[in-house]
Amino acid sequence: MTGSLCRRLLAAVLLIFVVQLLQLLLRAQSAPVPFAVARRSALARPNLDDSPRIEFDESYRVPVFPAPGPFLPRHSPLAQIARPAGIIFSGRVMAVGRSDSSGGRDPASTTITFQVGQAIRGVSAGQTLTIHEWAGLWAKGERYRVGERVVLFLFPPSRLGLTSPVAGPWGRFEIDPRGRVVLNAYHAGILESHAQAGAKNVVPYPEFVLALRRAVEEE
Amino acid sequence: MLNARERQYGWLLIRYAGDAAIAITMVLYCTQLVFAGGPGYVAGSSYFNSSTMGQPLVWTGGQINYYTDQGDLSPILPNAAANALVANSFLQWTTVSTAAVVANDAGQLAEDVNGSNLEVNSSGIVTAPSDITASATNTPIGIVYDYDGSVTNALLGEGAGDASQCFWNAVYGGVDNFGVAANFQHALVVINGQCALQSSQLTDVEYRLVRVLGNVLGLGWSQLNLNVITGNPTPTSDDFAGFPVMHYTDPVNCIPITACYANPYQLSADDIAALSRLYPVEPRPPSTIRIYGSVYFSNHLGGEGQPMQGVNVFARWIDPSTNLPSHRYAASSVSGFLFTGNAGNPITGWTDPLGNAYSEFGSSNQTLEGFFDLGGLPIPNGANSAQYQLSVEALDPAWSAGVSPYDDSQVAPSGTFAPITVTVSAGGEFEQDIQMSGSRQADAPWAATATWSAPP
Repeated sequence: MTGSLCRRLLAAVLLIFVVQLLQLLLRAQSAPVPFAVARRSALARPNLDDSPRIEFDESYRVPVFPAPGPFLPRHSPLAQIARPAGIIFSGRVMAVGRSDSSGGRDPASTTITFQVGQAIRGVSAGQTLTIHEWAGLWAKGERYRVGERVVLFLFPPSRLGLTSPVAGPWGRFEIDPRGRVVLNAYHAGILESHAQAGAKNVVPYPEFVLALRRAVEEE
Repeated sequence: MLNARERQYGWLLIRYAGDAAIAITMVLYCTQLVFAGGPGYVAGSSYFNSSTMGQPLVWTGGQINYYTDQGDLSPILPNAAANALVANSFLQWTTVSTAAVVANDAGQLAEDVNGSNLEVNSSGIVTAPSDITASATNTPIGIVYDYDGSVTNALLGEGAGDASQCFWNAVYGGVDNFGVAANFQHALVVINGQCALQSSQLTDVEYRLVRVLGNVLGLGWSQLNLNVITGNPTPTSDDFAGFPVMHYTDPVNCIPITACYANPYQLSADDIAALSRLYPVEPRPPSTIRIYGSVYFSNHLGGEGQPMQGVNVFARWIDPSTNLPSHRYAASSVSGFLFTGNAGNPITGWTDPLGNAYSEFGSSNQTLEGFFDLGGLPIPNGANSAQYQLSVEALDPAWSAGVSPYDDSQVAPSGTFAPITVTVSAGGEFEQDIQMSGSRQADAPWAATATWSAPP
């Protein structure tokens, strides 16, 4: 009887040990891993369990990325964009125009006016913000439409008063009519170093802001 | 029927420092840039001479004179070495034997352009050396060596010239003055010296310079062998060899660029064909062929309907040794590349947000709405004729977003088209229209007296 009890106790202890061992192994698999590895695992199976429900476009084609090179800082992509930015905000385009100079029609810069929604850095919520971009950027695709909503990471204005999105199109996010942040080709995997990692082309705005605030804190 | 987008080009208004008169400049405000899998700019129905409508913009006579900065580019690239880098980058294009384009190192700019040359006065007017302004047609292409990144900082914002931004800002610029005869009159290129501090970075800089110079020559973006980027299917060496230098964009982790492409600025058959169409050699070289035609919707009778714009048409050489389409020798052309991508409409208006007429770039001639041109296709084995497989595909809205005429708003082709093989004699051409089967039928007008373009 005593031997049988001992065997049962031993079996129970072993069972608990095995369960704990399995938990440890599983935890290890989801622990932070190097950047490139995290990217690939995230692309293969987005981790949706620890994050709010998000819309995942299964048809979105995930690009193949090489490992980061020696010139790319090994920080989260959002942190890389946030670091050099002097102005970060979400807002709506209120007006687009040319700078008024010399009475001619040719602009020194393109002038874009925003109604700031959420202010992250360098501006205030509700503020009307007017920025000046080098007119040559318009040709490179840095264009705005009145009414469109964007999240922008802007360099601090230069001594000429000019600015532009950090890392070109990487530092500009469109917000779709449903209030979701649209990730373009440049943005694929941009949230991957956060808990909400995954290859998705739209992200709920609150989730994006949460990831952004984490990135800013990471700096 | 199709999405529209704006295209506009503006440039820097600059005033000569120290000169009381405004020396100006700038730009052409331009407008509808037509960056297609071929020409980057096509004359429209306004601004340009009417006889040039539908013509790709080029440097007159294929003659290009460029002027370089007097300063050094970086500690490892003193002026002479920087000049050699620029010359070699031009050579990638000018050594194409089937294209009549020549680039001359015509001398130096009058100064070392740096951050101190760029100023803003109390009126908010930006001033800069007069020989790099858009109106400086005596120095038609100015090459600026931004030694310390201060020029880039001034133009794009503080920090934009930092070494961490080299993926985006190592080389930038483009054409900033267009002649009414559908010719280029001025371009500016800035090379950031902060991206050339180590010899290991020079391949990246030259790659980006070759691409910007491609734009300066008048080439637009292209899509071919996109699996080199997407990895689906796994690219072969032929896929890499046939991947255009003038593809729209790179994954952001391609740093250094050789992590993605071993020979990043080696021109592909698609690049060569595009340049050959822009600056044709007369008579047509016997080593090439041309396939052209139009893409059409099917009408309700099963015949050719409305021309279809925005379809990527590509031709692959059939290798006689394998009877398989080659991924090395291939070229693409977007249907309707000469046609306006966004003509505006009564709802959106006829001008872009800066007030420039959409009609300035891209023809309004409807015979060009679905036209594609695959001139300059090579005959790799030197045979008397060649077989090419003709296919169509959608332009990828992410990786080819900037390919015109529908840049930023690519569309999915309606219907399908089974690839066909055509045979063309060396030096010859072949017309082959493409009718998309199962394509959408045109919507009926609102009323007998109304059309979609002229509603009641």
